[in-house]
Amino acid sequence: MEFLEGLANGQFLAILGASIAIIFAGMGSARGTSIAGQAAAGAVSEDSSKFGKLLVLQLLPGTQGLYGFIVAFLILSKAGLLGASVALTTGQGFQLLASGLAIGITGLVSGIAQGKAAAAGVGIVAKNADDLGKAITLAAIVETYALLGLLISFLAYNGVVVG
Amino acid sequence: MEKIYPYAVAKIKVKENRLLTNANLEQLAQENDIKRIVSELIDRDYKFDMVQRYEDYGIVLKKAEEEVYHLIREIVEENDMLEIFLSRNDYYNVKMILKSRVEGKEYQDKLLNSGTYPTQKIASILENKEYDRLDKKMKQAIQEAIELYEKTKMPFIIDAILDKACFGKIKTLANHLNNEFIKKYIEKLIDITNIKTFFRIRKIYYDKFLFEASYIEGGKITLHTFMENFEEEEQSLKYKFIGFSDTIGQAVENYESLDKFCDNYIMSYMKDAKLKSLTIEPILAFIYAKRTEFKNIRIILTGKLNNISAQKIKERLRESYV
Repeated sequence: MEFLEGLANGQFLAILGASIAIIFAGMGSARGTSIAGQAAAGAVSEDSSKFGKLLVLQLLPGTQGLYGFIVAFLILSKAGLLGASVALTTGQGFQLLASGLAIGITGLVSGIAQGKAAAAGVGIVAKNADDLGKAITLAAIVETYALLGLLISFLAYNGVVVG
Repeated sequence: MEKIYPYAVAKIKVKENRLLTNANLEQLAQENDIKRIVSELIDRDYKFDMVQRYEDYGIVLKKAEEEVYHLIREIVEENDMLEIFLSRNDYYNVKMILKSRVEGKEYQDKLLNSGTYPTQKIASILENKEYDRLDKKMKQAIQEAIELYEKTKMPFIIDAILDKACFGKIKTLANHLNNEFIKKYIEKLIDITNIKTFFRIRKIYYDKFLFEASYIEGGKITLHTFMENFEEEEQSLKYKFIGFSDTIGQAVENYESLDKFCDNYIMSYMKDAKLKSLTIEPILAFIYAKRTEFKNIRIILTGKLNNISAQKIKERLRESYV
């Protein structure tokens, strides 16, 4: 009984939402930067002068984790876990959890996809270092969908009224 | 989900910049001073300092080939893809040794170093008939080839039986990799080998049943199509093999350059790998590109050392990957 009450606790649900936001978006970024980083390492192992340019490409899929972190931080803050305590109903807890889902899932998928696009961009730079701009642009388009996820998470979070 | 190789592919993409382009090859063919040709090749990491005489360029190319295989072993965990190439070298070596033996010729210079079996080992196994030291399929193929040769006294049968066994092995390797590009590559190789065998048998032996015994399964062209058209007039042949009219046309009209045509046909397929940025295709294409480059260098250097005209050398050059 106590266990079920704990699951329905508003603050628990808010923490779950924050965790989903950071865990999934973080996983997307970790995987994405790993793919792009491996590709960059392959190119640098042959031509170390390209390190600076390729670093930019590796960093691109890192933003999803950052967005997940921002949303998680905001959720924890609204749930009263970072400052003054707030009474949170089960419904409000679920609302905050749902707001974390948007960036969590879009972050996971777009992070991996962007990592692949960035790794493909490494191939462009490997052929011609002057084409870095094109490689960044192609990979950056994937970012749009992470940004949309962040926007929806933020709007949903903003719509949750507590206290 | 298809396996990705970001590190290996990016490394290969940088290495592709060092491949000789068609224009480079034509320039080398045009160059009269062999010193300049060698100097250009040294700039491309060919180790000519290993040899004293230009005539020994084969040693340099063997070393370069070994380096390619070493690189692939380093950057790709699975060896199945590399084994597709290495197994062909093994079977090529076995064919060379067996044929040289029956023809009473020397074979040491003809062997390829980069097989899965060291050349010394494979030579000693065949010399001492210790076939149990080889894999089962190869052992069976060798025994069958020797047996059939004893019956027919045709060295060609050795090629036919071992080619069949070789493709059997590389088809298994390709199935392990489960990659459509590689499977299609093998399929194309089989079709080309069958077409070459078809014309070779028509020209030399004109024996339909010898072709039937030599036919390799796994290509697009069925045995039935070949058998049905075996006795056809040459000129009407190209309309009988749907999808292969260019290759057949080449075999009919210019049989001497059929090998070059087939190499270019595979290369044009390999160029599709340029569109892939993470999967295994560019790695396979790089191995093929390097092997073609070695072949082109061999054509240029042999030509120059034998005072063959630049025009003739250019005619023999294969299409480069870049």
